[in-house]
Parts: sequence; structure tokens; C-alpha cells
Amino acid sequence: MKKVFMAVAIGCAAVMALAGAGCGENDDRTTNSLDELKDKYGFQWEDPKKPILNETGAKELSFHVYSSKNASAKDYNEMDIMQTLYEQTNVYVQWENVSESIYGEQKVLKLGKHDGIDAIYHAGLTTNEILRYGVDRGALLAISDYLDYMPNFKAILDSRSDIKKQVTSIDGKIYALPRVEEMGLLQNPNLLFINKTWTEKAVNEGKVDLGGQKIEDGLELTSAQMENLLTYFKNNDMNGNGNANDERPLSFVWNNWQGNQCDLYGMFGLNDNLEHRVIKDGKVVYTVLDDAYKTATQFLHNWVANGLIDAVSFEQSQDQFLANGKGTGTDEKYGAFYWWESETVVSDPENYVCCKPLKGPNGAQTVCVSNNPEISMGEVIFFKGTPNVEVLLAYFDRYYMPEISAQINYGPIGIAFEEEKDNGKLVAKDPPAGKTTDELRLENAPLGLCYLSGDVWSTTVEMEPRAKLRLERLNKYATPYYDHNSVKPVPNLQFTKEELDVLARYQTTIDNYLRENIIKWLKDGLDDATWTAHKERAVSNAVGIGAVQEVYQAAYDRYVNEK
Amino acid sequence: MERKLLQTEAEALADAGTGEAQAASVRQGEKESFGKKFKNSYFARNFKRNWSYLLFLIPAVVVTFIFAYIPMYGLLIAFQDYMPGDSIWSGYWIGFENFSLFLGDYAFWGLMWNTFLLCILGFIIGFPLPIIVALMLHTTRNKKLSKFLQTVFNGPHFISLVVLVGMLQLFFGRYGLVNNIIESVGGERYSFFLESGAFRPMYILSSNWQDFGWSSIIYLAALSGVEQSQHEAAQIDGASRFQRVLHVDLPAIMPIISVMLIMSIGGLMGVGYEKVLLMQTDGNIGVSEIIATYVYKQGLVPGGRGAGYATAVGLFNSIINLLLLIIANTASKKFSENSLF
Repeated sequence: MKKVFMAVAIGCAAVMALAGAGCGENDDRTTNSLDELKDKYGFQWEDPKKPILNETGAKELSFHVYSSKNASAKDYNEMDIMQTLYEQTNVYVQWENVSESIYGEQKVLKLGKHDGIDAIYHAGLTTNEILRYGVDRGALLAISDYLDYMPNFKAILDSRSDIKKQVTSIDGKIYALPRVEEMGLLQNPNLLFINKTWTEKAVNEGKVDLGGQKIEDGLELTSAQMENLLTYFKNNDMNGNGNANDERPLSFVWNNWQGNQCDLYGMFGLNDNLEHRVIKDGKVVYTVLDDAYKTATQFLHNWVANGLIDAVSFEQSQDQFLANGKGTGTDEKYGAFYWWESETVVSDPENYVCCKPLKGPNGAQTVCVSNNPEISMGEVIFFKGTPNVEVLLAYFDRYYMPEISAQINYGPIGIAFEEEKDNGKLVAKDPPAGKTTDELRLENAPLGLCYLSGDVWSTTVEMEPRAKLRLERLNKYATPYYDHNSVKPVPNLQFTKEELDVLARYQTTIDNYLRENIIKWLKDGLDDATWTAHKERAVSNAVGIGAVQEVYQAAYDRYVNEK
Repeated sequence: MERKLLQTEAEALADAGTGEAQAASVRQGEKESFGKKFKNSYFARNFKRNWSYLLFLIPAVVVTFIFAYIPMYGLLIAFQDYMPGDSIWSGYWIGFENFSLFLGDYAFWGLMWNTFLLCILGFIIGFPLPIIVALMLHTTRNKKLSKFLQTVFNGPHFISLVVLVGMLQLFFGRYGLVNNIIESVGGERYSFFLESGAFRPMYILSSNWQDFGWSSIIYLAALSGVEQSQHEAAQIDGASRFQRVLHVDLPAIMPIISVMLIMSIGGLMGVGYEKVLLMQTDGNIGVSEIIATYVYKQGLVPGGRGAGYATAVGLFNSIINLLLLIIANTASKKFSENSLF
């Protein structure tokens, strides 16, 4: 009997919980007019050195911000940088942290019923979501109406029309604050590394003629030389452990955001990327519709069929790829690989040289131009009806100040940066023993809203050494290899609702179609008839690349023509 | 849907436990209760006699109601241009647009075919297997060995799907155990996860390996209810052990088999998305994209068509399942005495 009552009771409780979820909590904060805010709380926003509110304001006004945080980060309420900001501004923000996976589930619910939340930090909203929740349902605050209270953000928008265009929704308003971290590291995500001792061996045995080049960073290989090298790697016991089969000639992680296959298509003049979509001479083009793609696929098929490209590249995860690279001497397995940097992949990065892009059979030599944006648009959003929202906006505006941005992104002064500046620049501090820079950063930096761009790196903050090294390599071996005036990545574009419906309609289909076929062609080969049929089918409404291409072209034209 | 099936499964079990006789009497009672005159008195008498047993049903009814019936209002979003956060009644009604979009989609027949094939193949192997295993375990003379084997067979059921797929990758990955063996005997390494031909066998066999022991429990329970005297009689008549299995054991569990058959057919198109998604690679996506993974991608992954559309596809799938269930049940009713309802 008891059990029955329990069950009934639990049932009733569940029903009530379901019903109760609909009611929001009461908000007893009062909304003050601008004059009241100024008079009573000393609200000011013009001078970034002075507090935004006076002591009364610090006591009486409060805001509630919802945010995800990574697993190793401290609670945002306890982070040094947040306390510094409170001391500097007198704006009291109460953070509610949830884990990233919980946020993933809660995001849309919070957007619908915000239950006393004033803003979401790390919101991660897509264009589609901003349009639907901002323009369509009117749940989000139009930040652009309050730009007067945000001097730093306004200055960014005034000086950077490209950012302004990317964050402005189709109705001309801005609904979300962007995160901008421009180091120039993302555009060309891959670098090719090749095993030095193995290559030397191949040259010494006369298997490949490198034309007298020294085997050092900046090595330039043609596709034929590369093929000879990889064949040699495959057929011989390069690491000398007695097993001629554990060498992996060329590896990467298929369709990963970096360290992927796209650079291989550069041998045929294609600036491929994961979406296979790039801007060329003002036109949105699909590399998978270009006849060069057929030639490239047929060529690469041979490498796959002969085992020069390790087939595990198509199925392995990033972790598996990284794990297999570890080991020196007789445990070394990688002949050549594509990755962000060699240091994280192999145990002995000294033994791997960074190559220029491969030169194709017809002399083409270019790289992947990715659409990884350095500006993420939906970082922070505010809800309509937040009391005294001007103050909160002025508070978040401070995040865009260079020194704050650096601390938000890397960690506070005293932990991530030395207290003493060098030439007015923040200098990274060595992590305490037993901790890596990454661990320290994840623990102490909230990441998210920041503006780190162009001259910030020369005036305010020193780039971390790893980033510097990568930038140096990119400047030598990747960036010069495509025409920056003609080839451009697709920027964050704004779409109309109708256009978004078209995109949503075809996205999964296109994705599945391309994923399935590209890998099939690489494995089984591609004949001319299949290719002709593919070109017709891909643009038809059955797959929809044609329709999507039109939508992107229209949106891009608007983007370009917008002042 | 699934919850409901589970419940019917529980009822079926209870039915089997108390024996056919009582079930028959209940059915008879129902038939007569249609007569108006006796309705009240029969019902009342039945209730009076069985009320304490009926009480045991309450938790099941409550749980089913809360978790299966109350959430059903959510199906309304299949007919809306719904965004999470909207109220169900906020009224962005679009009628059957989501359904026509799905039926007209280029992927439609591929999805149906993939789902159907994956399920039917799994069913053809997975349905008889536990019956055979149960009969074998039951007939084994060495009861200790039989119990031991049963425990061993049940083990895999408790491996989580993620771990199971991880094991598959370890064993069948390009540098996994199986490939190492293939290579050491002079074969070529084979990418089990990339070749579309390997997906269905790998999926189905691993699923069956995981669940055949667990599924055989219900048949073992039924077998333990077989009268020993029937076996003795058959032995006296000179029946061999195999003949006894065929003519005593198998007929005895036939009702259970047909109930399980009906329910399996009802769930034929209802394969879960988790394992398929975990095993999905670019190489096998042509055969591994099924309705459930499609619903997941359209409904939860950014860039999909949204919650309304995904709900419509899910609802469509459930309706097919329901139709299959009804067809199977009607057929079973016609050709044998056994049916669910």
C-alpha cells in the first residue's frame, strides 16, 4: 500500500513540477530612468577609468547572468578577473554557471523563458537563432539601440565595418555581442610536416631526388617526389623495429576543423575547405563542382589505394591520431602528417620539418582557405525587459578594453601575466610547477567576450610563444600561397527567414551526400561518367547545392554592397 | 510508444505466470460483460474478488500515464513552426507541411529502406536466436553448466553502448586485433568502419551478441512452467531428447513466442539512434543513415530543420510501427489463438 501511495505522490509531484515549470520567479528589482540612475547611483559610462556606478549602486543594483563554463574553470563569481571588474565598475553581477553539456540542453529553453536571467554569456547563438529569437519572437534586446552606453563597442563598430556588417541582423539591429580574437591563425588550418630522418634515408638511397634541397623547414616537394617518398616509407621498415607494416606514410584527421585533408586538393589549384564553399572573385563557388576536383580525386584515389594515405585517417578521431604519433626512434610511426603544429602530435618535433604546400602535377600549389571565423557573433545576448539594462551593457562594454580582453581570454594579471609590464605590454608569466599554461588558462580565464585584434598584439599583449611560432610558419608556408584579392573565406552572413528555410531544408541532405560520395570516390575511384552525373545531381533540388549556392550568393552580395 | 510496449510486455509476463486458464476466464468475463444485464454484477464481482491484485497495477498505470500519455501533447509541435521556448499553444500552425516536406524529401526512400533493412535483418537473426538458446539451456542435463552459461550470456547486456562501440573500434579498427590477425596471416587490412558493406553485419551481430542471453530469459521462464509429467509421458512413449524439445517444450512456449513476435514486429522500425550514430562514418553513411539518426540531426543539431520537423518524422515513424503492430496482431489472431489485444 505504502508503495502505491509513494507512486501516486511521486506522480502528483511530477505533474505539479511540469505545471510549475511555466511560472517564472518574481523580479522585485525596479527599473530606473536614466536620470534616476545618474542621480541616485552615479551612473556614468564615458570614462573607462572610472567606476560605472557609485557605492549605492554597487549595493542596490544587481544583475543575473547565466553562463556555461568549462569543467576545470573556477566558478565565475570567484574568478579574480570578475572581482577586479567589480572593483573597477561597482556593477554587481551574479553569475550562474552550468557545465557546457547542460547548457547545450538548456540553451533553447532559457531563450524561450528566461526566468529572471538578464543575459547569457557564452551564448553561442547561430545566425538562425538570433534571427528567430531576436527578430521573429522579439525575446532579445536590440543592443544597437543602446550603443551610446557602450563607447568601446561603438568604437569597434565604427572602425571595423566588416565586424559591423557581420553582427548586424537583417532588420538592421544588433542582438548579440561578438567575440573577436584575430591572430590570423585560423584561415589556413593545416601545415604539412614530414619525417626528417626517414626522408634523409630515402635521399641517401637514391629513391627520391629532391633537387639538392636541404631537408629543413621550408622543404618544397612536388606531388611526384612526395609519392616516391611515401611509397618508400610504406614499403620499408623505416623505424627499424623489424616490422615493415607499422609505418604510416601520410596521416591526418578526415574532416577535422584543422589537420584535415583539404590541403591535398591544393595540388590541383583548389582552395578547398570542409564546407567546400569559398568566395572566388566575388562569386560563391563550390570546389566539389569544379572539374579540378575530379582530377584531384582521381589522383588522390591512387594514393589511398596504394596505402600512401593511411586509410585510418578517414576513421580516426583526433585523440587516436595524437596518441599514435607518440614515441621516438623505433616507435616512430608517422612519415608525414597534416596538423596545426608538430609539437602536440609527435614526441620528437625536432625530427619533423615543416613543408611548403605540395606542388601538383600541373604545377598548382595552394592551400585550404577555411571558413573558421575569427569573429563569433552570438557570444553574449540580453533579454528584453531587463531592469537598468544600460548599466549591464556599459559593464560588458568594458570587456572590450584591450587589457581586460587579454585577461578575459588568458587569465588575470598576477596569474597569467606578470604584474610588471614590458614596454607597456602584458607579458605571459611562467606557470607554477606542475601546471601547464593551458591548465592555468582554463582554470582562471572565463574566455568569451573580448576584442583582441591587429594592433592589440603590438601594443597591449604579447602573443604566446606557441601562437607566435605557428604564425611564423603560416606566414612562410601557407599564407603566401593563395591570391588574397581573389580568394576569400565566406564571412558570417546574415540571411532572411526565407533564405534560412532554404538552408535548413538542404543542409543535412547536402552534408550526407557529400560526405558519402567524396569518401566513396577516394576509396573506389571516380570515372568521368559518375562525375558528370554528380555535377548534375548535386545542383538539382534532390541534393540542393544549387539552391544553397544562390542563397549564399545573394547574402554575400548584400554583405559586399552594404556600407 | 516504447514505454507502452514495455508495459504490455509486463502484462504478458504476468499472464504467462498465472497461466492460460485465468487469462481465458478473464477474456470470457469480458465477452459476457457486454451483456447489459449482467454487466454490473459481473464487473462488480470480478472487482470485488480481484481488487487487491488490481491495486498492483496502479504504479504501472501511473508511470505509463505520466511518462507516455502526458508528454503526448508534445506531438502538437509536429504541426507547427515550433521553436523551443514557444508555448505549445502559441499558434504557429502550419498544418501538414512538415509531413509533406519529409515525404517529398530526396532522402525519404533511402531512410526508409535503410531503417527497414537494418531492422528486418536484425530481427531475422535476433528473434529465433534467444529461443534456440533458451531451449538449449533448458535441455542441458548439467544444470550447473546451464546456470553458468546463462550468466555468461547475460553479461554483455550490461555493457553500455558507448563502451560496446569502443570495443568494436578496438577489435575491428584499422589497427585493431582482427586486422592484425588478418595481416599476420597475409591478408590486407580491411576498414570495417569505412566499408559500407561491413556496417550492417557488424551492427546486427554485435547487437545480437549483446542481447541474445537477456532475451532468452523470458523463454526460460516459460519453459520452467512446462509440466514435468508431459516430459515423462513423452519419455515413456520413447521420444528422444530432440523430439521432446520439438513436441513438448516448443508448443508450451508457443504463446509467448507469438506475443514476442507481435511486439517485435511492432517495434520493427523503431531502432534507436545511439549506436548507429556512434558507428556512423563518412564511409558508411549511405547505409547507416536511418530515420532515428535523421530525426536527431534535423531536430537537435544546429542547421537542421528544427524540432517541429523532427517531431513530424518521429511521429510518422511511430504510426508505421503502430500499423505494423496492428497488422501482426490481426494476422496472429487469425492464424493462431494468440494475440495481444
